[in-house]
Amino acid sequence: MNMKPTLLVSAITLSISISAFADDGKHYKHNNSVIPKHQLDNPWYKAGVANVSEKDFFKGKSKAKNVILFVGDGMGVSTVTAARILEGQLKGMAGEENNLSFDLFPFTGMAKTYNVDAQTPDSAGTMTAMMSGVKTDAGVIGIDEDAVRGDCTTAAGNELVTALELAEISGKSTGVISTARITHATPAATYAKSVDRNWEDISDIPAAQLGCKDIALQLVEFESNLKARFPKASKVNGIEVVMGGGRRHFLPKDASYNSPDAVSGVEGDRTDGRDLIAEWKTANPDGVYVYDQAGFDSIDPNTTERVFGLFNESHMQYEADRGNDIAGEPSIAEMTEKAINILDNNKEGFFLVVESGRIDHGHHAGSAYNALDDTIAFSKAVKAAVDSVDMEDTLIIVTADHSHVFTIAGYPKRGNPILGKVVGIGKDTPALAKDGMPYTTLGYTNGLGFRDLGNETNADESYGLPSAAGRVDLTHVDTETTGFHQEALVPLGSETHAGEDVVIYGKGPGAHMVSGTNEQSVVFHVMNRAAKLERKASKAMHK
Amino acid sequence: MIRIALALMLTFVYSNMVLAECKMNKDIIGAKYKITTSKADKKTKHSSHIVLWRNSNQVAHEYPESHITELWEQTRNGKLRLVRYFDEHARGIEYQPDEIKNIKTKHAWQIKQQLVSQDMINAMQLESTQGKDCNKLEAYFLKTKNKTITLQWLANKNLVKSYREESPLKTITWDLQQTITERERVNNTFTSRSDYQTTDYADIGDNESDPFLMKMIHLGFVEHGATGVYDSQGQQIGKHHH
Repeated sequence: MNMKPTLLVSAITLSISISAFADDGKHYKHNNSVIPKHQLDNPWYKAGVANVSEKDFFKGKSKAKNVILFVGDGMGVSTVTAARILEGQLKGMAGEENNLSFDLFPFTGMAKTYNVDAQTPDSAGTMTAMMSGVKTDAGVIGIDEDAVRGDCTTAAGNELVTALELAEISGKSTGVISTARITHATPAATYAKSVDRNWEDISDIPAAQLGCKDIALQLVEFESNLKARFPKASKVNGIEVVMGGGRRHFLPKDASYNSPDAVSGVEGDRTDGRDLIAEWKTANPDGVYVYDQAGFDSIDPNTTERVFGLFNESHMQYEADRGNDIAGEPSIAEMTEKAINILDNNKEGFFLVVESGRIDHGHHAGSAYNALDDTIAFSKAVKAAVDSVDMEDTLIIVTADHSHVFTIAGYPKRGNPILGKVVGIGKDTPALAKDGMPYTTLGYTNGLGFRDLGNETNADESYGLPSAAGRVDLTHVDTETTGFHQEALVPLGSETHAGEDVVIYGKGPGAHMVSGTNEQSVVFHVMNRAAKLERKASKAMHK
Repeated sequence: MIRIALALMLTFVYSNMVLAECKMNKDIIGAKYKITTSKADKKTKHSSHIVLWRNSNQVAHEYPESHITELWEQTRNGKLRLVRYFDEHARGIEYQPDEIKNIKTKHAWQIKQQLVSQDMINAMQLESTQGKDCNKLEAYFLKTKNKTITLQWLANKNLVKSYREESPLKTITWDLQQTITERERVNNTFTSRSDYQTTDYADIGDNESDPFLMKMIHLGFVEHGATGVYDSQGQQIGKHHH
């Protein structure tokens, strides 16, 4: 291990000196574990085990048959607060008193999001931490910090086993949903090992690194790859539900393979000629491939064993922009409900990851509206999950991978429109700053800055315009329109992630372990302990 | 019945006449323009170039001075999609439909294809017609409150031959310098750039480790470029690329 001693977190309880742990906190020889020794011995992993051991005081009440992990990409605390207020105001309330669905979860904790090599993290390193229990570098997926980003030769021996893989091995049904491309960093960290998050298809991999498999291929070959790594894992049968965007990475670079709703002249990017969608269909004759709303709606969850849904060439639409999709695509709540109703056909239980990937994109574009609207859609998906499962045996965790430089500022009065200009207590006109101009409650520390795009619902439209950071006279601008982009202080071509902690929300068996301030990798350990993923996987291996 | 037959026959004859007028494929073509802007004081003059490339359902606007080429495609639901290629870096940024401002005019695709909309031409006064077949040239004129516009239109190639707009402040001219009809050269313009590494605009913020994209994040993206001459209201659609 090359873990830098100076970076070794103080959170590591060194009183734990044993070299291998089961998910119930009891130690046993590592050669009985599905998880490799280098992962079990990883200081991040050991610290996580210690963390949940200390919190797992409700003995006997932490058995979860099912686990659902919701990740709001870029959904920092200020995003949750502002989305909560916006949703409330859209319901006719003052707003502040409103609750998003997961605000009502009984347990919360904080996660320190930094990557091993980065103070402000990216999604690849953070999601790897949450899925494997091991913090790693920015930009790498499912691989520990001993690997070098972009160097294929450093991957071997540093791969991490993920919670989804443990669930597969133990015989649970599994699913991954994202509103981003399904090969994007966050969803990819559930199933892939890649020294570069951008190697989404073979055309993205430099010629010198072609010894590594691209992420899309790893998704389609997930079952065979996992069986190859764990030949005794007899219950492995592949991911039952995969839904998101990103068709381009599964199709050959040949117009004859275009989907009916392709937006590019040549939809596919693959330069190896492989049609991975066709390969998936061949490998899963009982499975259903869908690419649009009509196909999605036709799926009967009671009789469908597995689904591969790729609803867009690249990312799925912002929630506010879904109506503009060529062939139509389902909402994140619809996908969540459908996935659960398919996955819960397995009496062994299921493991599902749901990512709202475009909250992050809305913020990067400097559009609070799109980020908040997608957060509200995300909240509805969480509610759909709570309503669809038996909470007696289902652990639901909701969290973010990282935050954004998004602020709620000034002294607006109660019920002041969250997308509006600051109007003080007892006032009816906007407060003026020292420069004599009004200012909005919401703003960004950096990014593209002000845009007034009227009723535009696609945040990314702002990218076609030059950066306009700094103050703008908003006196005659309606800042509550969907196309308004907030002011930014530091001019950048894209707004950035932020480094503060994010909240972890927990409900269901094992959720009591969600508390305190934690390394982000604790998310894995809470899921692992609650559902006994590692233990069940190890048992399944040795039957 | 006889009237219908006669109408069909006339349509057939007319179609063949049109086909006979210009046999070159106007959908596979390149057209290089020199754009000159002269301020009214005649002390400052700026010139640049744009090459319009048409390849069936794809259009490219190449800006040689800035080494940027914009590829436009029309989607099934009539929206436009853009890939902006940075030729010096062999990189591209992909925009999903409607991610760019200023392309929502009714005739956006037509403006991309021929730099001027048919509505704009229809709004102008036809002054003269000369030449025939591929060289049929129509001269148009339009005077508005602040501008005087003249257009020479190669009607059977759907190409602007020259365009001149005079206002009290400045004069802008677009002059066709070269027409490229070799299919291989036109195809190569598109295929060579399709091999560039591209990134979704939405993904820029997550690629801070990529030097090319980091430069973009720090310096900002190149402003949306010239996308055509005029719309049907005589309003300028885009400005010079910089």
